[in-house]
Amino acid sequence: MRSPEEDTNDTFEAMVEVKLFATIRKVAGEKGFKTEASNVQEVLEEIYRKYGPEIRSEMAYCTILVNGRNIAHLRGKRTRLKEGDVISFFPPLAGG
Amino acid sequence: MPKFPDEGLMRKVTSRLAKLALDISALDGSRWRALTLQSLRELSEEMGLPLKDLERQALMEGMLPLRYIRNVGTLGLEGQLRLLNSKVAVFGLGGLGGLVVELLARLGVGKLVMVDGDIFSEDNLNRQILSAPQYIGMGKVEVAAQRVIAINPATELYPFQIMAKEDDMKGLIEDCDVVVDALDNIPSRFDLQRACASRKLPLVHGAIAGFIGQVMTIFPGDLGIEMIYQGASERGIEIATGNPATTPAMVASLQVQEVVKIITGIGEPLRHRLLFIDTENNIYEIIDMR
Repeated sequence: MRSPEEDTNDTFEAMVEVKLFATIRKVAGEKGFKTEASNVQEVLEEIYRKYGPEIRSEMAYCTILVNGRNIAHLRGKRTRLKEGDVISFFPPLAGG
Repeated sequence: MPKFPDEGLMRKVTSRLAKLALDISALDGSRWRALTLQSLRELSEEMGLPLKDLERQALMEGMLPLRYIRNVGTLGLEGQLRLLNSKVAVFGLGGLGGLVVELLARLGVGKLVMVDGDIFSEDNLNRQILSAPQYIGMGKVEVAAQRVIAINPATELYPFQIMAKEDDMKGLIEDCDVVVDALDNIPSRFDLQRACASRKLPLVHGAIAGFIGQVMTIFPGDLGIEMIYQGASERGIEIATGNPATTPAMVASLQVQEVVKIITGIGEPLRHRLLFIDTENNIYEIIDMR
């Protein structure tokens, strides 16, 4: 167990939870991962690195939420991430 | 309120209903004064009054149309009356909307606005509950109207065979209580949310693709569709995944459940929360979207 003091010290690495859904998850082959990325763009780059070129078509037009807010309503791909944030990637579903 | 022209007629209706009502036991032993569909139909014909007005008067007087006896344990007489007094608009009568109108009619929603400009085609048969080979080439709205009348003849219908744009939508939903988004493309969903916001009406959103579906209830002023689809193009991944039958059935049922919650006040709608379903991976996740 970490003490609160340890959690706030300089050596603590900020961790962001990345959640992948639906077809994005299928191509990635996993539910998500933890990252130290400091903004959305860095997470995207990490996704492309981890899962290769095949993931790019799945990521086109995907909805990106940071703590439940669409990044279009934040600062887009420049939206900053901090310890404990959850970033979710969804493909658009529009069938009816 | 019932549209009886005078109080004398209303008293006469109540008295006739009371005489026709039968003592019925529900499965739990609770006793109800219940009216069969046949007796209500005969009275409707005899008095020249709509079936719905008779059902409403019965409920207001504590009598139960027998067709709703398996509703009443959950909805109560008050919930049933609220459904009967409500008007719900359904946009899109495909995989989602077809089942949505079927369930709303069975539940006893009094007035249904049904909007779709499309006709049935062979590629609908895998999932659309209202489709059948003999209906190919027929308007979805026309088939839906026939189906609803067959299920629940008390339902008042407002069918519109049009591809509605925002301005049409505003007109069609004017005196509705709830609107259901069962559309199949993203721009129309934005149109419908704007129309609902301008009329200050709640919107129940549903969308599907393959084994994936989502549901959210959007109240006026909520970002809703914008949060889900901002930056997306006209269609989603359903153009690649298609839509097998199970996902539309699940999502449509959940949309109807949201409508029931809003109208009856029972339970808590999925507001600011997106229910995301991925049955392939057994994911049923509610995502906060504020």
